[in-house]
Amino acid sequence: MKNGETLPPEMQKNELRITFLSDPLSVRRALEKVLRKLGGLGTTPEARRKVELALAEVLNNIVEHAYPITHEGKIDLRITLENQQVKCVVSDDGLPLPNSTLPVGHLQVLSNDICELPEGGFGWFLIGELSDNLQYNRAGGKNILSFHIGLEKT
Amino acid sequence: MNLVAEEKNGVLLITFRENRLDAASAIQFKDRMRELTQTAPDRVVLDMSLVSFLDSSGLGAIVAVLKKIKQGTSMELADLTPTVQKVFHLTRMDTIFKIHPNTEVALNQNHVL
Repeated sequence: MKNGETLPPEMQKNELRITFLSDPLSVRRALEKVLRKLGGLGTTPEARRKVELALAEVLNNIVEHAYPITHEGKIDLRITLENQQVKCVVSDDGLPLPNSTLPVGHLQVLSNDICELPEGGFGWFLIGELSDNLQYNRAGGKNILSFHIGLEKT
Repeated sequence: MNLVAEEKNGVLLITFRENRLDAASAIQFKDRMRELTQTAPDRVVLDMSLVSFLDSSGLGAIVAVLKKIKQGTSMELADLTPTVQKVFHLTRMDTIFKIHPNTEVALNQNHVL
């Protein structure tokens, strides 16, 4: 579909577009909207759990790293349900990812020494585990990140 | 931050009475948990039954509490909902914490280190 073309009504029904500020409470409200929308579309609880968690990690990352100084940046989110997949596209005008490249998340080895346990660095690993077709583009001063989550039960 | 603590069978049972432990609540959770566990007995059990959503910030906060809890106190979790379980399982943090199916089981169990 070309940009600017009007979506047919059945696709609009399966789509949610929202714009919100990059702060933790706005992220929370955005996730609640996404979950409500997906709940009304007959998705499984397991698919919704994956979408909520993957999206939360992506959005928290934007709040923390793309707009590190202020919480006044805007985040655009588009969720589409088609072909048994939830497609998520998230864009922002903040700082690019390091080297303008998608980080590779690794499962962290957990030390037996409690003091050495990691308190962070789980985000990209979780996103990678939960989603398919994760892509990142930096264009025109925008970060555009997209991924899919299948609706079949796992 | 709605965290309620009560001592039962020599165990400090803390119930998190909110449905999200996420980036918006992680810091407050950490601070409040530290206050509540300062004079804790040997076992602290955190009842997670009302928490339907946990992200990696929330997980980090729970790990931070574990790391700061006084020596000799075991910090345990009870009644994880599916999303919370998923986060603990994917990150393998379920191998670090003692996780009980529910608070009843947790409270009736003898202290095992």
